[in-house]
Amino acid sequence: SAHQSASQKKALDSFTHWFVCGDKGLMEERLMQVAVDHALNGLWDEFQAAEQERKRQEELEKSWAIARKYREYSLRVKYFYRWHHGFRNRQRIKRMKVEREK
Amino acid sequence: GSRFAPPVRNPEHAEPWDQISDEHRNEINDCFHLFDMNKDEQLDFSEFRYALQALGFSNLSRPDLIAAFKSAARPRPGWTPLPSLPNQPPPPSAPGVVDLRLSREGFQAVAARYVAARDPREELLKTFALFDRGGKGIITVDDLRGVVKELGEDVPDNELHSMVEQFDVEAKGGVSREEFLGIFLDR
Amino acid sequence: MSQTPVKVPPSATSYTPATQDADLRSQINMQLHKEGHVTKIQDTLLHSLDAHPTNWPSAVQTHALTLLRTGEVTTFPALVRRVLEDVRHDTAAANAASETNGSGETNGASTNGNGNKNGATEGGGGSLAIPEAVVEAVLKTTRECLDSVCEVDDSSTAG
Repeated sequence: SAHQSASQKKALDSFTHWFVCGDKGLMEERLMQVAVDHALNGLWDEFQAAEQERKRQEELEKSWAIARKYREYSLRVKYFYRWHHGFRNRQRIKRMKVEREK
Repeated sequence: GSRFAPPVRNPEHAEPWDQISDEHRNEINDCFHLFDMNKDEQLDFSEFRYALQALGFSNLSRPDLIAAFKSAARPRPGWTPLPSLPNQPPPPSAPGVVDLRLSREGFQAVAARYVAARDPREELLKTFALFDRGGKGIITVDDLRGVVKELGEDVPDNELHSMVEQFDVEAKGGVSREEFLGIFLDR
Repeated sequence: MSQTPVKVPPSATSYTPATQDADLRSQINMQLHKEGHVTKIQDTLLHSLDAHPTNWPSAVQTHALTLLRTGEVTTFPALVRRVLEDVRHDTAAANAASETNGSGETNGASTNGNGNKNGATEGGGGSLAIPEAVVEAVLKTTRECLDSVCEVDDSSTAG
């Protein structure tokens, strides 16, 4: 189409613009879908895998937190009460001694 | 259970389960239930690992854990070795870790062995770090108030004061690490 | 030139973007398809999208992940539909922006050089508009394809 005159060239340019970018044109009706599919290819599986990993991690942390909470609680209970009982026993012994000396 | 388990007559031959304190036995049973998530009276390997963590064993090596688990666990009900496929290497006939389950008795035996072998100071030092908020190096009355609050208890202040004063030999306003060990370990 | 070129009436060369001519479009699309031009145009599109500095694909991916993470869309088909809608919206917004501050010359493939095109969406957020340069590349390739499948019927050209 080398012999195309300037006006014919401009006409085809303008027509191409309508054909591609106009309403219901090639871009809107077809190319955008191709572009989006291209961009999202594989993203769904990637996202599902990431979600599974996140849930697994959360589950891990949750169980670990449960274990840690139990551990700390049982140490507090065991040693605070043992310490406190020790104190109570000494109080009782002191009172008994005072009673006897009266 | 009583605070101080009576010493077993012949500790060397006794099973670790009988050697350890009542308290430790209760803790072991608690942890079993805590992580027997589906309430089938069995633990899988990961539940076993968390249960031991809840008992304070959080830095056991994976090979040790697997060996301990395998030593006491049994194949889960209904487990059968995989059928061998043509021109495929024959599948392992013995169940893998993932196919094994640990009964309560199995867990009690393994956990008791670890508890019996643990240096009692380890638990005390961990408790000291728990009580001594902010890592000051001493446990103050204020720290004990915090512990009491967390236990949802109500202990009069004068009792907390005398609990500290009795062991705070140099009257530095708190119980040091060594003094804390002294409370529980008869030197 | 294809054996049975599509006759394009001269009036078609001055259609405005809003002009509808479904029949002419489907004739050309069929011809483009038959002679394998569609793949060529698509390859140009995808190649220039990947090469373009704004990295349009990753902008789309980020947007898609946000939609998934916020739970706005929960299935893949819904995701594709929604992203397509957003791309159309942003592209239209970008074109509108270029019309208003451009020289108003809508037709002709030459870019009318009116400043940054791809940040144009209102309501903030990165633009998902197809970058100008990509549109240009597609126009260039499509023009060559149309040149071979169409014939401007100048038997009654105005001049």
